[in-house]
Amino acid sequence: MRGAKTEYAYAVARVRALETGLLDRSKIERMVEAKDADEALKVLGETPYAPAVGQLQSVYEYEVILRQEIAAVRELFRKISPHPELTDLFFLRYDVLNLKLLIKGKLLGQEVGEFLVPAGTIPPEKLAAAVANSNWKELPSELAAAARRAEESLAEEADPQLVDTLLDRAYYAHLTRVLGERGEEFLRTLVSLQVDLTNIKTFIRVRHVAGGDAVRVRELLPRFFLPGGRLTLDYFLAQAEEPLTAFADRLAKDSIGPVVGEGVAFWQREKSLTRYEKLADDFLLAYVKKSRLIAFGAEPLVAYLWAKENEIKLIRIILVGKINGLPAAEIRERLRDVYA
Amino acid sequence: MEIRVNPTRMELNRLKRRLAMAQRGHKLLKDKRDELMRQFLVLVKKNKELREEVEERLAGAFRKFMLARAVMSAEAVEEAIMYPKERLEVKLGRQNIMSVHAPKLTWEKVSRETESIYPYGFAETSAELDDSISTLAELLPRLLELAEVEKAVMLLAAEIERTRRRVNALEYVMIPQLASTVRYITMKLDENERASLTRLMKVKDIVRAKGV
Repeated sequence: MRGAKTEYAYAVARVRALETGLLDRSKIERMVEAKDADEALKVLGETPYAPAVGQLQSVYEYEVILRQEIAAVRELFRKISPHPELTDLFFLRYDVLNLKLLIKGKLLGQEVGEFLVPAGTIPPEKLAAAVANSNWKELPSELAAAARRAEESLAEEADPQLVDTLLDRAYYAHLTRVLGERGEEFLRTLVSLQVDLTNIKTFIRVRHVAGGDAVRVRELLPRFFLPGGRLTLDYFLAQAEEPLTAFADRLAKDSIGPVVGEGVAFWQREKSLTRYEKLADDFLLAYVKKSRLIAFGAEPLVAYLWAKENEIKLIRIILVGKINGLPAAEIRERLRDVYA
Repeated sequence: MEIRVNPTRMELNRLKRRLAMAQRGHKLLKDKRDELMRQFLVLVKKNKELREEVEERLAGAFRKFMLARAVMSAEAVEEAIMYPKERLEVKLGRQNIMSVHAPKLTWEKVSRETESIYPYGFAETSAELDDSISTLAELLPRLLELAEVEKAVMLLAAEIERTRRRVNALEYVMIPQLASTVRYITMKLDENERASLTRLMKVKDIVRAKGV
């Protein structure tokens, strides 16, 4: 397997060239400093986003550009990657999102077409038809099973949370399994770190919902817990009673230690996970950046996708903030690091 | 302006009865108006407090929602909240405030073994959404209460206006009119009486002059 990775040479070179087009810190800073949303959009118009920005009627349609951007990255990967099915794993997230929308929409009898993201591995129309007929053949096995269960249980109990939790868990189970099978250690670790960080966030949120009742934490957490992380469910359950600071201290030596430590401290001060979410995103981005040392493989491609998603998040935070007149300081508080 | 009537004793009695009735009605309506006003002020005060509280907390919730919206994509937010988990059953009843029929809302949660109000999974959603959703959930009963109070205030205001119009109509139109008509008839009758008296005296004079 290892030797064959030179087939990625062209794809990696393409992506490296594209990386230089990502927004750098000074562009982001100029957008934050812009006096209103239109001006921020104008800054965006001076970047590779220019053609898309030119087509916009107003700043409120920014969401359109952002959607197209991810779909374009997938198009590109399909063309240049020798193993597009590997990068497709990371686009499957958008299929999962579409799937959730469609299943909920089906049970509510509501049209959701306008919200479907065209960035998934299955075209939205095809997925819509599949959901309408409850035909899950196109989906990976884990997702198919989860979708079937979600639809069945929702029909009798009407707990919409179940759709989300079942599909989220299935997605990460699938991701972990395939990456493990293919021996993609770097990406496997990336996913497990992401899962750990998400599970820790979930742990904090569940504790908050339960209001200090450890029994309820033990009851709720398994529902939301994602598989594929290094920290097991039992690890969390064993600490349901302990204060969060003790939980954070125990992780202090781990690579995610600083994120958890600072995030938990901020949570206890402000009862807000804003800081934690930002730090977790930054941490993963920093991890992804290490792929710069990898010359051949799918890693740089995934890294580019990650950087692009991060950039889209940045643009969204700035534009939503500007449209709603949020002060620059509060926008900055939420801004993630920049990949470039 | 007076009412055109025949200046007869029967008419006079009728008008006097009407006048007495109008005065009694006026007094009763005035009492009603005062009491309505009192209740109205209480409700208005409550309404103001409720509205201020609701508006302040709603603004907070929307702000948090906006922040959640900033870190999540539009589709993800839509997906997260499109299918509500909580269900509230609102029953519309009636309450009687000074014979004004105001709506009375009663509500109850129709949710199963509810453990958390969030209709979404935690993996793909920002924690900022939680705050916004929980504030909105806490706020809903207050919103219903506000709706009830505000409608009652509106109905009471309309009723007060109607009552005040009636009181004024009685006080400044009906009662003066009736009073002046009564006076007119009394004077007319007195006049007639004096006329017939003088006529009689005159006749008597003539008879006496002829008879001599």
